[in-house]
Amino acid sequence: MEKRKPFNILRSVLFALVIREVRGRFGVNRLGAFWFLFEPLAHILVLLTIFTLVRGQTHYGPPLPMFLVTGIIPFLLFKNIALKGMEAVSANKALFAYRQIRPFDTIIARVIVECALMTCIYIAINFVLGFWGGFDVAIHYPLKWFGVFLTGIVFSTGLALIFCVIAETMPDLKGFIKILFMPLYFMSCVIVPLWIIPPHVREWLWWNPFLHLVDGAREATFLYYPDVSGVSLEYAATVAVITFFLGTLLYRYKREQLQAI
Amino acid sequence: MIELRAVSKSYRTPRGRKYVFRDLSFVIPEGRNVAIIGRNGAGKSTLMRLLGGQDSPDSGRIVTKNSISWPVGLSGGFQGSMTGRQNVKFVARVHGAQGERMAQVVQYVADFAELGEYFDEPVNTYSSGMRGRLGFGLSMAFDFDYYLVDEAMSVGDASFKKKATAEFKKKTNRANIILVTHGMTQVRSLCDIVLLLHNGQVKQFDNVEEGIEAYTLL
Repeated sequence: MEKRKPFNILRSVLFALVIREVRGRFGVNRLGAFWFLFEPLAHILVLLTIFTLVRGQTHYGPPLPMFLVTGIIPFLLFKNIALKGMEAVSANKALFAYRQIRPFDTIIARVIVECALMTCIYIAINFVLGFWGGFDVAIHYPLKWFGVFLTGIVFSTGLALIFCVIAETMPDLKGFIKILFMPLYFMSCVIVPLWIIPPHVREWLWWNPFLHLVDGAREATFLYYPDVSGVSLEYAATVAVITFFLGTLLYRYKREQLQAI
Repeated sequence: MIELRAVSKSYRTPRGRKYVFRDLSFVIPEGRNVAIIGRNGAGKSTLMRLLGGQDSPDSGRIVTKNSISWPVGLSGGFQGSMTGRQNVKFVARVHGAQGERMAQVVQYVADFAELGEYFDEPVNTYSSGMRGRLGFGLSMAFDFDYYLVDEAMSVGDASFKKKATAEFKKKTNRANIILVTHGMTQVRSLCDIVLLLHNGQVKQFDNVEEGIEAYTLL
């Protein structure tokens, strides 16, 4: 067996894991491939229908469907990375018998799969909204948009690392962590616009980095978007870097335990 | 050559820490086929996991320049909803096989495991014997310096066992095996040194018969 460079090993392991991950979710039959895309799509469509019918257009801000899509997609992406990443290690435990595969690889593979999946869905939904809905679906500040998503991905990957160490040492907490993301859904202003939240409540919401990320994504997408002072990408980026650092630290410390079958 | 330097390994149990090895040092010499024997609970499997890199020592190091396989016949890593072929491709990819080499690996496993049409069916649908054959074929498809064998070769029916043993004999020209077993016939036919594990210590016997005798006297 020839010696390979660490980078080459990492690349081939990630490639193999990504394919395996997608195959695994496709399931046995072809319907699986359809569900793979349709499941998150359905999630978004149902929310979109409910809230468009219930809430109706407000007088202020971007059109409602666009407003919801630009909030739900990043939130769902970050949430999936954090929660699916948390499960990545325990779900792939048997694979660590192959010594090239490290727990970290399984998490990164899931991050890649989630990003690819959400990109497809973002394009599909915006295609429908733009083509048949006649909405302006362009991303008006692409650089900022990439910055926001990169920050969010780093943040949620850091969370995934922390969560997977927690899940390894205290498996009972997994359910609790999953439930935590439900209130976050509302506290991140995914559905309700930030500007209708009373200022004294906002004071508390500012602590939530997802709020800054979701609103940042909207600011980057729309040409005109109501500016609420207090939204700070710097804050989100700082939290992201700290979280990622903590995550890698914890992972490094618990690496052997995570890997042991 | 595989060298263990002051390796300690313990596990946490509800009643405190239990040490399997404490400051264990020994050398597995170059070019030898090794049998690791010992009574139940002596730490054979733990030693195997340490050698295979599935677990790491609390302290100490395991030093080697050689490549060591995963436990031969491992079938726990198969994804049930994927076909045998896809699972083989996955492992081949992880080991850096591409293009030509990939086709070669897949062909080898397909021939060796003799699964026929089942090779393109999901692994879920396999019997345990078929899984074992697939796992065994997969281990044989890569050239390692050392093959870790944990009570394997008990896979499949009589004809497959024969084939597996023959393949191992062929491999031992270029590679070596590290065998954990209770079957002394296998030890006699495949190995030339014996490591006897007892009370967290390793005793090395260069003569297989002496090792087996010491084992039976335990």
